[in-house]
Amino acid sequence: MNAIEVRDVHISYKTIKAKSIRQTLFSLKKSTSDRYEAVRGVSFDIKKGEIVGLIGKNGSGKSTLLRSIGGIFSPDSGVIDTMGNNVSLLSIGVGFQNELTGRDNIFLSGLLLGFTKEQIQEKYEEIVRFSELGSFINAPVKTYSSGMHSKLSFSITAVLETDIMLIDEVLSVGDRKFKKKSYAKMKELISNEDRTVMIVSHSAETIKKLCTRVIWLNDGEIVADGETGEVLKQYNEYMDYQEALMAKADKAYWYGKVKVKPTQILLYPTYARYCDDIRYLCQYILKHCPDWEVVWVKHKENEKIGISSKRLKMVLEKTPEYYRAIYSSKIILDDGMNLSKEDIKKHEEQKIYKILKGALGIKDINREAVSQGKKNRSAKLVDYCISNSDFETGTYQSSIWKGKQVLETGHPRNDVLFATESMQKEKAAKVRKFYKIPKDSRIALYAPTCREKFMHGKEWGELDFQALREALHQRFGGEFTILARTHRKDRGKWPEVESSPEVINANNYPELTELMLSCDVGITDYSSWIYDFLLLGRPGFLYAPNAREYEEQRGLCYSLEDTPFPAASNMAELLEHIHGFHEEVFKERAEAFLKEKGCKETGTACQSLVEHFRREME
Amino acid sequence: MKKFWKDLIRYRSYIIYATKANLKSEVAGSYLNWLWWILDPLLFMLVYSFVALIVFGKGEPYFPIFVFIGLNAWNFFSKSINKSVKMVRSYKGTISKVYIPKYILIMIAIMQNLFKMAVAFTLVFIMMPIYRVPLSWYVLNVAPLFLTMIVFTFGCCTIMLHAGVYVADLSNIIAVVLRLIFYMSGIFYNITKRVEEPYGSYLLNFNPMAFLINGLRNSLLYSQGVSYRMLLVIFLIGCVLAVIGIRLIDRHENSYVKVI
Repeated sequence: MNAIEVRDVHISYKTIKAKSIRQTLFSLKKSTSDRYEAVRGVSFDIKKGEIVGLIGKNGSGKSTLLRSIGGIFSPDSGVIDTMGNNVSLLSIGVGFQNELTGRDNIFLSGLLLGFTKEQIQEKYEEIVRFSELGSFINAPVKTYSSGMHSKLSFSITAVLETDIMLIDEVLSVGDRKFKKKSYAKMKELISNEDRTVMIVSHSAETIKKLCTRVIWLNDGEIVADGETGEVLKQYNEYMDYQEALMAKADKAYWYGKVKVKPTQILLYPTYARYCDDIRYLCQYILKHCPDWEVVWVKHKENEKIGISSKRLKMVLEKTPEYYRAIYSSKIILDDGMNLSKEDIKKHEEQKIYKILKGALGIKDINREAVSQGKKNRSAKLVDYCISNSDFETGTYQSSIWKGKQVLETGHPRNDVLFATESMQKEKAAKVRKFYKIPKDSRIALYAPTCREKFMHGKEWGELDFQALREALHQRFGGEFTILARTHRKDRGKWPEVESSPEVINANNYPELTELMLSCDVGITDYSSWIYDFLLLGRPGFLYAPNAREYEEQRGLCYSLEDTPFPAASNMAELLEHIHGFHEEVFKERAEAFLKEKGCKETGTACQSLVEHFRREME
Repeated sequence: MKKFWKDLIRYRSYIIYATKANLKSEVAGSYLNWLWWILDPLLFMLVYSFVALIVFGKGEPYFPIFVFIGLNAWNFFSKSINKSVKMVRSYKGTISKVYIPKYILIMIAIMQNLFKMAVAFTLVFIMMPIYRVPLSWYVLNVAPLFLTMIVFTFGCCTIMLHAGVYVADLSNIIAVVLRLIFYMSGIFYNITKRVEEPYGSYLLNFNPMAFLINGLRNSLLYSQGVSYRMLLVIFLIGCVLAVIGIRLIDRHENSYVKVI
């Protein structure tokens, strides 16, 4: 027996847009017959008890069709017959009268769905319980959060149990607990053989789990109608193809379409939260260059970058605005190989600046795992390399960026290491507050580099934070708090460090520079941050139990002995180095090291870079 | 039209529940609650009494009740119209989720305003003995007068609801038009006495609200009759407007959702 019959249904939106009186009076053309046909001749039958998924890209007419079946608007031609069943439509958004209480809305919705007051009264308690609204049920709906809204509307439809349920992309409502619950309820409802359900969803997962049959709509027409797995497969293939097509088209399209804006600067960080260079520079520009347009590339829709300014325009990677921004920015600053992810042509007048994170670091950047294509593209694109020392300049010259002009302005991220004491204290206090570290406690930071393939090795097992703290206490005085931070790529894979009760896990602090300012002692293996930390003149130690293996496979630019830091290959040695730490000797070695590497950091990197940008703009 | 009567029966419990809920939510959160339904016209009565008696020095017998009747009837009419113009937009949430005949929404608004008018009118019946207003059989005319007013208002509302969907800024114009009609309906002055002929009769004969308000006052306060012929004409006009409006809504309501 059929529950829904749809016969050759056409639904179009004429441009009967609401007009203002002025338009009504003065528009000469009576009707601009702009007809947009959302559904074009769709026919299908749905049997009683069937669970049918409706898929298709945005604007393919899914919701329109669903709303027509729900009786909200009738088709322009064709017939929709729901065989006298009562139908409920569940979709995102309100559906409530905001001024009225949740209670009243339950009754009103129920009455509209064709239930009597008594029937609703009977189910009322269950609806309230399911919605988890508690005493909020007697408050006006306008005071609800959007989650509460959706929970209530789901509960009403789910508990009142209409014969036909039309579900428009709402199974992802509320928190995880509620999601699970509503999912279970959905399953239960579906298992009733008399209930017919149509689900619109973009989640293939949901469709796969719930539906027995899928209808795929494209531009208002049925492309496929059949068994779930079959149709989903076809649909996914199609979507992948479309996506590929789109990405290509966009790139080429915007290159020819946009002109370079002489005062636009594009900031392209590798990560949203670990990009001190770009962040400090961005803040500097926002403060000192009021007439520049600043664009920031984000990687996820709801990424937080910790800078709030109306002037800062955010674009999402791989969107049309993103390509537009790339081709229209006079200056582009890249702190990785972000721009080289795909083949991008640049306009001649565009200037691309490149910052290395390594700087004085010991790791050999030439042996970083980067694809050849990316390297070639980057070598082609970059105009200027930003360096902080003779050493880094040399690094550039021996790399794929050989022959590029190098600007020895220093690194923007290190400016703050030269800032006034009060400003540094302020930043340090921020860290203490964040981790609730008492004022009188001293801080040591343990932050090793990425372990990559050096994951194994029992050497790491002998890390003894308790002994470390004791040693620090004996040598430097005061109680020590140890902040431990693993490399971004190692997050969650190193429980010995990350969840040791002896340390505070500092992985969630956005910026390393501020952590550096807050700590008295730094410890790492090969990570380059310690060479920035050196600028502060505070004691640092190396703990590198796998030095030989690392040097062989990953490559080091100079030996551990050449660093100003005492290097230990096991825990006992590290403790020994701490006990025997000699401040004068360390200071001497540090100075010699910076001199030898030709360090040019003076805390004016932002300023010098902005001056350079400005010259380029003119 | 058959669908209209059927819907009216089918949705009657919805209309009743929605009316109650709306009334409740209207007073929830204000200190004086439903007292405002009386206080509001009462305070405005004082304002207009001040304007008429002190500024212009032109009063009427039982002037406070005179103004009060006018204001109550006017509020019923103007509030219903105002609400109808914005009706589809304000119910957007509901009507894009579930089908509901749109004139049912008008019924709710009218019921709501009718109830408020009824509450306010109790004050009229309290004030009448205080001011020693002589009663007469003409009081019975109140019933057909109210009925006509309701039908006429409903008719206007259906047309306004439909027009309000397609003309986005209609509510601004309607506010001005309603204000004009307000002054032409003799809310705080007596048209027969204060407006020179022939304009006075024009107003009374061509402005149904003026006629109805005048009729209410004559029946309640001044022991005078009402022109039944005129009353019937207005009633029929109301019916015709309602039929046109209901037809319009019936034919177009399925595209309302596409427009807003």
